[in-house]
Amino acid sequence: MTRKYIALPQGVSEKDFDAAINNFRKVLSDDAVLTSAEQLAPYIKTMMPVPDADHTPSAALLATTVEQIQKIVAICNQYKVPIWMISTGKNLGYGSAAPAERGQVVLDLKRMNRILEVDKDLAFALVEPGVTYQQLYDYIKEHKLGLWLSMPAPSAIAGPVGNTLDRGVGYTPYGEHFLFACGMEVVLANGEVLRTGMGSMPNSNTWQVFKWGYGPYLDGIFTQSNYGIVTKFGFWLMPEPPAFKPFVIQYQHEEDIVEIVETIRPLRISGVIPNAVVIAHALYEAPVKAKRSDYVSGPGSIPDEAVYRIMKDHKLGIWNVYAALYGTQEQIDVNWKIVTQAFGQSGKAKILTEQEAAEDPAFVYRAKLMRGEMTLTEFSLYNWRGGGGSMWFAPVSQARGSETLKQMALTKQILAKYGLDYSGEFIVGMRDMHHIVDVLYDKTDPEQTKAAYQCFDELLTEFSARGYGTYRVNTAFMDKVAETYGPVQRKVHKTLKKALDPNGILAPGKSGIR
Amino acid sequence: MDETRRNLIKGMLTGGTLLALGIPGITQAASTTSTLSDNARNCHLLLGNTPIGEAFATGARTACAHYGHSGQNTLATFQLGDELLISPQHIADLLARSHNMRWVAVMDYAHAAIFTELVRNADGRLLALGSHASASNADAALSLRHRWTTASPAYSAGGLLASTLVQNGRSFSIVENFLKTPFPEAGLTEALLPQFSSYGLADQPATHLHCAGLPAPEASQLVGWETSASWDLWVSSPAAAFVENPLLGNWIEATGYAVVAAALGTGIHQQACAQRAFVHRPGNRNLDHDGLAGKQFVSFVIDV
Repeated sequence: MTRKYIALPQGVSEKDFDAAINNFRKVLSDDAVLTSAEQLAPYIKTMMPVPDADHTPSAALLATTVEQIQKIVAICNQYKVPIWMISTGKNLGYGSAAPAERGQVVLDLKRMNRILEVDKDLAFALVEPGVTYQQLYDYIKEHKLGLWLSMPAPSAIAGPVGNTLDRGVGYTPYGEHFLFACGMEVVLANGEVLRTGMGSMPNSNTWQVFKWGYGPYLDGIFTQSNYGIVTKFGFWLMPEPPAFKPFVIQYQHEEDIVEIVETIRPLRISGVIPNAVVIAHALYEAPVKAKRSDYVSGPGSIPDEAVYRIMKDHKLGIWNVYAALYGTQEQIDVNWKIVTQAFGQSGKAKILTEQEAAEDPAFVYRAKLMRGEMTLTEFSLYNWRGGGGSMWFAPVSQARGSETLKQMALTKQILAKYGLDYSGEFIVGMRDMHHIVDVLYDKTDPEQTKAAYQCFDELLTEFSARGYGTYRVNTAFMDKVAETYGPVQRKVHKTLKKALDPNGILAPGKSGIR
Repeated sequence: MDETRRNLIKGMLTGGTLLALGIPGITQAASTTSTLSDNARNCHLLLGNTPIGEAFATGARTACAHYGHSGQNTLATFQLGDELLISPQHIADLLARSHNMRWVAVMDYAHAAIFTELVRNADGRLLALGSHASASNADAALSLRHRWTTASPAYSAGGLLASTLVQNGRSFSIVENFLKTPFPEAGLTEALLPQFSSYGLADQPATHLHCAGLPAPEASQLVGWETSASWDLWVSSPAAAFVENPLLGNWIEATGYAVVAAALGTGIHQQACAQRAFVHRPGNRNLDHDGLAGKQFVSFVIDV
């Protein structure tokens, strides 16, 4: 047992760790090397159904410059100390700010929060990892740049670097965030600084406008990975459209998901609906308006009868399709006609415009997200059941109605087996759907916590058995998901790791890579 | 030691038995907090937009009246609306403007998820983070559940909460995980909670279990610990007197009382260990004495 630290990195003696900490203090100021329990406690809380002790860091480092990070990796190599990098650390439901393995040192880049450039004409930004969406949003407003952000639901408190590197999504036409990434600066494990794409060429002014550079495209290997520390990040911003028309379409039966997806797909692929459409189940939207305990108590998943009462009481569909049109008023008028005709054919859809749904808090927050406005309303999910347990189950499906129905039915069936509710939505990509399910459980209840773990494990097992891959997962299940993609991919990941980080100091365990 | 506290703890058993056995004891006084930090003297209450806020605040004020230091027998209280969901920057600014302050905050899980992030952003020190729930269904094995992650036993509120809840006849579990465990030479004195039998694990002496009304294996299972663990009985139901707690209206007030008492550094019923649990199941079970079934919230004690 260590006397000085709340945890130690695996295989590192207290004496060696002491030496590493002393060296970190020489590189950073004393107040930027956190080792006390009180300082580290805010890094420990996770929503996963595993003991927080499994993810307790040994220290946290608050770096402010690239040069400091270069020195930090040198110390880590010397003492074989692993670091876990976070930008703003808001990976809620995926592991939060806590490291993948007990004893890793958190390298917290929140103080590297400079907005380095925002180009109004070319509509791009270059930022450091600690920049939040709120910070960038305020900057754009203050300078009247006429640009829109795309952000995930934790909007204001999260940041574009961390979200994009974990391949998160948003809700505007730029919602597939990595698709709009352009140029990274990366500190490698050996301390060298790589600028990807055109950034490698001295005096180039095309780093944030041309993604590919020359030779193999490298940016991808620094996402969902542990091959480097991204210290600068470029991405494209959306010019503010002259007009914007958000709307919601409600359906009353779960099987209607087939019709919804078959209707949306051609509209999405042809660009009539340009943004990442959300098809949210009633139980995903209900927490904005109600609490689970208002309808049911006791064990077991919520019965359909209670879901129907929630729908009736709070004017929700079982499926609620949120989308928007962007462009000039003339473009929107034309596209609106196409949309209403397409959805109106079967007579099942209830189409509501912004005027008709303006008082609905669920619509209000969805509309904000679709125009890149800050809102944290989706956090209401955490009050649905309470207890602080949440894991995002995130399988990918084809944008085909039959597939989505199969995925929903299988998810509901497995959740019900463990007494958990289906709080799910589909986010429609270009040709795929991100099926996003918040597995909510009460972490204060040991039995439910155990059930949630088993449930999540079964979801991964059953989905992968049917060829449904998970695109992102929390730190407790990274190895399991990596396994589902087969041995060859794991071997390639490992080969790259060995080549780029032979001492394994950068975030061991991230995406199952060591 | 503060005279009020001295009076309150008089009558508690101070057994040398446990120390003689080499078992870390429970502090009955402010031995680890005899020198209070500036923050403990500058304690404030932040109430989130949750229906339990007023009850928590009532308990908090009671604790402050009993244990407050000179100049701190009332609690400055800040009431939040839905700011955290709408404009978290407001709270971020509040934290940024706080210097040498201790905040006790209470809120629902949605707000707590955001508040935790703001605390880390503000370089705040998280002393204790608690989750508190009352069962909503009559079949629940225990009516109340409390789980804390606490930086060290010096900030522990679980023992004091157990002593108040057991007096009210509630069934409950309280689990505390401590990130940093003081070593025996920290100079802790000891005391025992009456009615509770105390157990330890032979192979993990820093794990303590105190249970009343049910056997250790069952208590262990109810708090989610290893069911096959072999518990050694250390002390069986000592005939000690309770700490004289003020009359508290319900379990939420009791929680507010215990959390703020610990935040003020009262140091009652604290224990040098890595984790501990109190589990109580009275013979006459009454799940919902006070119409607060199904209520749940999160408590924070932070220094900024």
